[in-house]
Amino acid sequence: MNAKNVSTSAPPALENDGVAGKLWNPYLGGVALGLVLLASFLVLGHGIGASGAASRLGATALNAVAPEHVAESTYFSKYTEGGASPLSNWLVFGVVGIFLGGAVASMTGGRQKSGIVRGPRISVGARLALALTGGIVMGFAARLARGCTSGQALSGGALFSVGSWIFMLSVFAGGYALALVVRRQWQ
Amino acid sequence: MTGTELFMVRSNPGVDPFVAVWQWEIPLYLFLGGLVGGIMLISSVTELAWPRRWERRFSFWGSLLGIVFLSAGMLALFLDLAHRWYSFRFYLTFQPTSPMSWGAWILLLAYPVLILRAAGSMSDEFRAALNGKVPLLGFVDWLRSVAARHWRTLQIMGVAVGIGLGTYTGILLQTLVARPFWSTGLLGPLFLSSGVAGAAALFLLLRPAAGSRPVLVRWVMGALLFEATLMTLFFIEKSGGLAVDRAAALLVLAGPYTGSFISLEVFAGILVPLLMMGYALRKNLSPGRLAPTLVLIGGISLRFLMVSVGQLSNFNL
Repeated sequence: MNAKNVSTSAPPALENDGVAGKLWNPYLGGVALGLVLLASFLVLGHGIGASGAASRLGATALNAVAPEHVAESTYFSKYTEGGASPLSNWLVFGVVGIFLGGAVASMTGGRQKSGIVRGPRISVGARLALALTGGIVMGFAARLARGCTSGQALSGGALFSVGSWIFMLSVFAGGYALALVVRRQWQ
Repeated sequence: MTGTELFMVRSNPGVDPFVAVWQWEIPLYLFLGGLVGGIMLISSVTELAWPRRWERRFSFWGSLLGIVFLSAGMLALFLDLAHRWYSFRFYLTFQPTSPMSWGAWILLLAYPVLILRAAGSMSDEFRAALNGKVPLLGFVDWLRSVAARHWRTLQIMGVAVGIGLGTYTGILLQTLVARPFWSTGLLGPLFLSSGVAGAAALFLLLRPAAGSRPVLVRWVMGALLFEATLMTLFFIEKSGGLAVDRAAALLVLAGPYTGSFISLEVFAGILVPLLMMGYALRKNLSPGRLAPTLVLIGGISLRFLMVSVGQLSNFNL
């Protein structure tokens, strides 16, 4: 990304950024996501997922610099069994699709620009550091829970899996609890 | 007792086990060659047909970028050669039945056309800025005068060399009949159309003015539609062909390369950019940088996919 194009001035809060009208209707988006999930079950035979792709990307990077470590690791070695590429998996292609869908939606919404979405109180560096920290915690937890909001809440929830529903309620509970700490960054 | 082992026909270990003798160098070269062919074709045709909807700076920067890309592609090709220092022998002969010989001479012909087109499209401001900064300015001025005198001829040569360069990269694969996936006459025009789409996308990344933008968007969309049509015909031909052709097609349609093909080529490289560009054209908006970048990603994915799958396909069913 060209550093010149990254917004350095503090943007307004999300609710007032003047683009809300150009976003998709959330209820319509929810129905569309449900149809994607249904199509995934029909075409692929299983639900959707996202965090597994990040895990596979990590395995690929690790395999490039330390293949011996990957081969010895119980967790990572299953990704490279038989000389397979960790990236050759439906989860990875699904994430490519998420990016492409986002590209079309941002174009049709007239919102396509590069920048870092952040609240008025936080600097670019601090925002990126918080996002990275959140991502690492989320990724680790998703591996512990054997799925993220896509694999557990959406796919497992659609199958009425008890564990997935507990996961989903825990996600909301954890999200609301953590929001008390970080909400000031958006105000 | 000593015995002599004789390898006959396809039992030769050099045929099947070494399916990936071409690594990154050849697909990169095919992509860059096609891109330069597209740059020459688009800029020459538009200079001739729609000069008012074209910016002369595109011809200039396109030709300069073409020289850089072609040199990078030829370097990649050179790195792939086993006997690198014998490559000069390509230029000691011309074999009309050899695509490699045609390619070697087309590549050599592309340089003077690109250099003269760059000189002829150089703005007076750019020329003035060179004063005192670069040597051989007298030679540059002479090139500019030659290019100005023969500008129309240069565009016609640009069209011919551009089509030759873009098409030959596909024909190079097509003639290797030991690989059923490549054995089709559609590869030449397929690679040319992908090169044209990539070149128009590259021009769109050079921030065109609102007046010249729709022409470039139409070039991208037309080339992508043509590419999609040729790709459909390619798979119809393979799926309805011999058993080895069907097996080769299945590597992409229902095999190890299906995910990469559908996500990187069909969606990222063709359908999504078509959708985004069509929307931008209809609403008279800029297509932005993402859609052209996706076209270029699709172009390079196509070459890597074609080279990888082709090397995997064989007659050993």
